[in-house]
Amino acid sequence: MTQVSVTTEVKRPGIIHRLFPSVVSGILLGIVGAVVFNVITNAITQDNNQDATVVFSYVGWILFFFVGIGAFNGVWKWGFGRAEATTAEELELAGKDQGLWRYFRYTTDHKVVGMQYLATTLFLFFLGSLGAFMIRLEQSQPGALFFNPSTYNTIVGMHGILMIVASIIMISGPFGNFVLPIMIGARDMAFPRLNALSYWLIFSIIPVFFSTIFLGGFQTGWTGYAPLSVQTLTPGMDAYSITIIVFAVSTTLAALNIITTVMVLRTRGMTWGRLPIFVWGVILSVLLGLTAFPTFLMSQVMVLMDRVFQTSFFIAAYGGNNWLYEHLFWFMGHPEVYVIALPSMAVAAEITSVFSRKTVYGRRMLLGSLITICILSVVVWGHHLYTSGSATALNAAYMLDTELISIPTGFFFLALIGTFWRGKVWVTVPVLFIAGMLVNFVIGGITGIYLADLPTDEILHGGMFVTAHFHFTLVGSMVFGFFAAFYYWFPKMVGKRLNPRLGTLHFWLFMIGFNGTFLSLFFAGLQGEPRWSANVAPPFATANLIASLFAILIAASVFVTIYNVIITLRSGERADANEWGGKTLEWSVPTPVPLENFEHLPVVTSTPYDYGTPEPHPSDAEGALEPAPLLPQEES
Amino acid sequence: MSETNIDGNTGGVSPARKEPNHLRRAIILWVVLSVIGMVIVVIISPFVLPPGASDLGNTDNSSLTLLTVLAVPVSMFVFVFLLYSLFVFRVKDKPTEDAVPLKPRPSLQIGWMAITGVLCLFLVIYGLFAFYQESSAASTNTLIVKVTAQQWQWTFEYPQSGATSRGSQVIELPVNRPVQFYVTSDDVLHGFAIRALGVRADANPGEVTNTAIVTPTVIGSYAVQCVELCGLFHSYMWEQVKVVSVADFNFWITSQGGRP
Amino acid sequence: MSTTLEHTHEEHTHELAPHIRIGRARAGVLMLILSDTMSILAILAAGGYLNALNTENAFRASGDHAAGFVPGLLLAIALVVSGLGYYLWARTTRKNGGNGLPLFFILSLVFMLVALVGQTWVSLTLNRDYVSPYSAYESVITLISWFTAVHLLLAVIIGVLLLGRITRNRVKVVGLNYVPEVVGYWWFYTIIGSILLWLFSLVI
Repeated sequence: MTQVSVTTEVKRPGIIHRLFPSVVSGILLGIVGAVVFNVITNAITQDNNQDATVVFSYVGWILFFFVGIGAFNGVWKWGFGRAEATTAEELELAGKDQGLWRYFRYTTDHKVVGMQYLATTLFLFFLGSLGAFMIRLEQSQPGALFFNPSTYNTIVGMHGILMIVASIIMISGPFGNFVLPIMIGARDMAFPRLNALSYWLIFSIIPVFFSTIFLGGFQTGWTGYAPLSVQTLTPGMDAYSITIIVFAVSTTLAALNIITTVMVLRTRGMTWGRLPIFVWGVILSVLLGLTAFPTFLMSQVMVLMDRVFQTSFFIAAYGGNNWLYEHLFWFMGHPEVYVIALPSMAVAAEITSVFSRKTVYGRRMLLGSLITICILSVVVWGHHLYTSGSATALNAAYMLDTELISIPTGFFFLALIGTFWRGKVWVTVPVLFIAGMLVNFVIGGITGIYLADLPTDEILHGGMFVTAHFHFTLVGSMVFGFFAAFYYWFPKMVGKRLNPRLGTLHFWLFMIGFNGTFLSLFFAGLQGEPRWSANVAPPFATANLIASLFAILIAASVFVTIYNVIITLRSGERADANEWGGKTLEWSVPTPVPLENFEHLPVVTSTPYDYGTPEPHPSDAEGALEPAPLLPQEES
Repeated sequence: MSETNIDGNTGGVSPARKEPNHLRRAIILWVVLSVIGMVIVVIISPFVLPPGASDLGNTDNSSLTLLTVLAVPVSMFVFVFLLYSLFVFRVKDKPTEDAVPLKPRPSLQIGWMAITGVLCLFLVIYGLFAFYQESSAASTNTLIVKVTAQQWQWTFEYPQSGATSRGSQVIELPVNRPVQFYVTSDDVLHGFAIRALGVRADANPGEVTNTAIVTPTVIGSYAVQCVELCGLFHSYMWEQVKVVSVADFNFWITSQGGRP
Repeated sequence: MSTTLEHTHEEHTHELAPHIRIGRARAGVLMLILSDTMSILAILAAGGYLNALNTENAFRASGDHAAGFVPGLLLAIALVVSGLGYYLWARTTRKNGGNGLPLFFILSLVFMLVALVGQTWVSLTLNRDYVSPYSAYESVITLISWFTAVHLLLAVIIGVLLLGRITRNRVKVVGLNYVPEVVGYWWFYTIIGSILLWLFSLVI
């Protein structure tokens, strides 16, 4: 939607050429592959091993989907082609002059991939919030109201996975792909084909994941705890495991691509010291993901082996142990929280600076705290196992480490308040969301202390209090950060202005609805309500009913957003190239952003936060080539 | 919290313009609201928290109240300074000129770190102290209850008296006698929890996990819940534990086939 | 952000500078290795943890044993030879400006293929002695065995692709000779990782 196709004089490609390779041929071939693998597996396995059939059908679907969409073409040419791809071929692959159809092909342009990620994130958020609303509906009164426990557990699990997947990709995907390369002055990502691959991997698992509905669902919730996941008879569980495995591969590829991009493609003068905070947030986040996700992948490989080949990684009777799963899972699971949090926190700093017209307060301190959080978060996973009995002796160490994280998080608040303080605060929709994020993050962070402290965790663990806490951090803080980024960069990405009135309405509905819902659930948690209850016990009925009523406001906010996006796409005002007066590089290029971003690569001479200081004269540009001369007034 | 540091901080930048002293205003607002908030927390916490029915339950409730009291000034600080900035420093339209940059003072940053560090250290020491107090409470007279979870019910055994209670029966505990639960599972992971007594431990297949030793102090009837998702009827895995007088307990345990 | 627009030598071609191409390839492969190392560590940790817990004294079923020592040793030797072949090929390539002795590479690829076939055979025959449901020990050994086989398969696929480039005389990319080095990272990593997993399966 950013670029109108103007291929009048060029020969129009035939319909076959347009469809192959594209997502259409990918899906067709993928279905064929699934059927073929299904038949073969059925023929080979003697004892009608349903799980094996399902697992290998998924493998067939994924492999042949990528054959069909043309993912292997580049690999094949690398090995057996006669010559390297020419510039014309690269541009063709990047979607030059293909109009909207380029969004449905294996397109390598980072802006296309970013838009694909954005659309997918919003789609997953929508379905996930549908699940959330169904949960609130069921929990509005005691007893089984609408769903039987099996359906309820499946809805809870699907809601969890959809939301977790969406929030892991919500910033690094859309903005990390679209905005980040422009911010550092690059023409594309370091590995454009890998970039397309990482997106289409996520696309390919969406049907796999939703097939669980037709395969009996899964009972384990999003954590997929073994041995319950091994014991579950329905093959819907296999869909869960395959989804996680492919998703882990996708995030790994995306992570190495983003890190490499920042390492090698920074433009002249863009030293590490001048990198925008957003870029730091994203690379710290994906670096964390790069090291955390492989263990999750292996845990699901083990679950699948237990399910398909009757191994016993998690079956106590044959020497397995569920603690193994818990450790593998939470070794990913806790860093994953910061995979979600770090880019969002960085977005908050970025936006606060732009809308206060003031440099980020204590930028180095903020960067240091983000890095510290990144490091500390690798070794805190044990606090999810306080009551498990697996490493009681280490509980004290985990508690210390977990509570240490509150120190760098405190610096984050200091930096943001310091940036707002005495600024020229232009209160727009992004700023509203940042303010909401800070308020919710205080509540989410402080309730985290309750769960990190051993004596209080003892009565709150596994309860509704935990649910309310992580919704406050993940939704109330980080998803609010996502929406801030969404309203902030939408004018650049799409070229149109989202309606600010509807945006404000979205914010207030979301903020009030969210706080009403989850503050009530905090109350229910303090009273002792367990998590995952399909059947709300009578003592907690009132709190749950109030939570469900407030959830209506959140649902309303979802539809306000959808309406806003639709009317903006249809008839929104055109946005300025520099809509908000930001100083990062993406605001210096025209909207829509041309295919290779920059006609001439820019040379950077200062940090992007030099508000309130005279513009450096272009003749000072030579100084830019020396490493990291930071702003003189910054941190004497 | 860090008044002197912040004072020092704006002192460096405070412009010659005639403006109200924003910092003083915000700090006064913060102090007043914090004090009000802390008083409110202390007053309402007995109504929000379910009454503790054991030594552990009471300790846990007072820990929760203490943490919340400490949380009030911390969160008020962010709320006050954030909302103050948004309301007082807001501009109507796209600003045409930049704001004056604030120069970060190392003293403020170090002070901030010291305060968060001290708070954090206090919480860790407090947590460790409470934790070791609970886990090292040795007693000669401890009643042992073996708890076995399975989908979707609990089995309770009293090995010292040779009694077993299975299925949807109410189990009983004597008041004012220390009790410890040895928790395990027959199939998948379950979570054993009695909120009112303040005990909680995972039931792992193939492993036995001990809860802390707890002394029920109030006669009454309390819920035993499963707190780890264990499949289809997880939310129906509830039972009741009754804390009764010693005489009643002896009568009950005999009726279960044990000796008092 | 204040920027100045000026022309630099790399601009009009929109081609990446040589040092960027090389740095990009190195960084990408090294990060892939970092991430894959984490999955190997996860396997090692899982095996060691289950062994240490020995839940219900059932970590090993009676008569549990590792895959045969001699086949494992032979495969390890094949891998070392493959690594040596690759090293010699990469060295000659570096010295002769992109035209190494293909014989060394073919030797390397053949031995990698031998290792793959052998490893697959070992994995398949594990089932002969192990009976379902498998004990935790047997589970770990099975996982290690198949995980190694998949890694060797990946190496063989990469090797075949590289062989294609060699036969078309395309070892150099736009005049730069970094492919042998960068593919070598993964090649040697595969060999070291596989041998490490094999050694682990002996001591567990």
